[in-house]
Amino acid sequence: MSLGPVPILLVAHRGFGDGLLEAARAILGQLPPVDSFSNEGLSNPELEARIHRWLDGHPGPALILTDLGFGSCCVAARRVSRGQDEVGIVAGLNLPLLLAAFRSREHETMADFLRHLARRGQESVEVYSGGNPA
Amino acid sequence: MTLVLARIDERLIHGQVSVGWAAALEPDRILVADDAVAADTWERDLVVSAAPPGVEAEVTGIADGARRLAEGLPGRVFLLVRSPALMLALLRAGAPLEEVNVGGLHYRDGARRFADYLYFTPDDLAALGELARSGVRLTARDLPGNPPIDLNSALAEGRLEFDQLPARGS
Repeated sequence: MSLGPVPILLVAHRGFGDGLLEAARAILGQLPPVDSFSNEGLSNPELEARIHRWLDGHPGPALILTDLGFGSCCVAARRVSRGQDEVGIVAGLNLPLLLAAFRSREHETMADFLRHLARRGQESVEVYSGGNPA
Repeated sequence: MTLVLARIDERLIHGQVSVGWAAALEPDRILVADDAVAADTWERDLVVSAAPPGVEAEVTGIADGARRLAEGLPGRVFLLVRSPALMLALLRAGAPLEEVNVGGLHYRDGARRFADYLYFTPDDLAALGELARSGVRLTARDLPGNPPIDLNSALAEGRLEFDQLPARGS
């Protein structure tokens, strides 16, 4: 059984989320269902209300991707999704992780999906020195 | 105890605090004073989890926070509260506050704009006025690298009258 297509929301600082989606479009073309907004100028209650409205419009399994684990976007997403096990959150967003997030069909449960995304995000960081793996 | 910063920020611990200010001030401890957060274990853990590595963070109620600040906590202390009214409550409860950074009050219903990161309600301005009359130096600044704004002067010169502040988007 597959988790199926999971709606995705990016919540990040300034234009980071929209920029990542632009980059993803350049690689994939048309993207699966995904929305993005920034915390710019929003109070915590306003940010939480926006996330809440998005989740209300996407019942069932849903994924929220945020930039900083200790930032207001992630804290707000955690607060809003408190007790909702079908809502997954991944902090530390990067482009490889976002591309992996579009492949939710390959996973059976939200827990499996989240573990895969955490691994993908971590493994995607590579370092080189003098052009060679460091 | 060295109180390296007493800050009003409705987001409490978040990126600007954990990265921007913590790197500049190198606190040993972040103290969040907030009765609502202190009363909810889940919220308390959520707030504390946002602290930077190596910095001890804790949440207390207002009365307990004031008492602990008055007694003196070890090391370099970074104090956070979410509103001017709570900072005033902390002062009235005995916290030794000489200077307060007003760092983040984003738009809420009924608030008016003073800076991109500061929207004040009449209650906010009343509490800031009380803090200023109590001898507290008030400075608006979101990040350590940005220029500070002297709010005591702004209050004294009438630049913080609610009716004179622009509404959002105007």
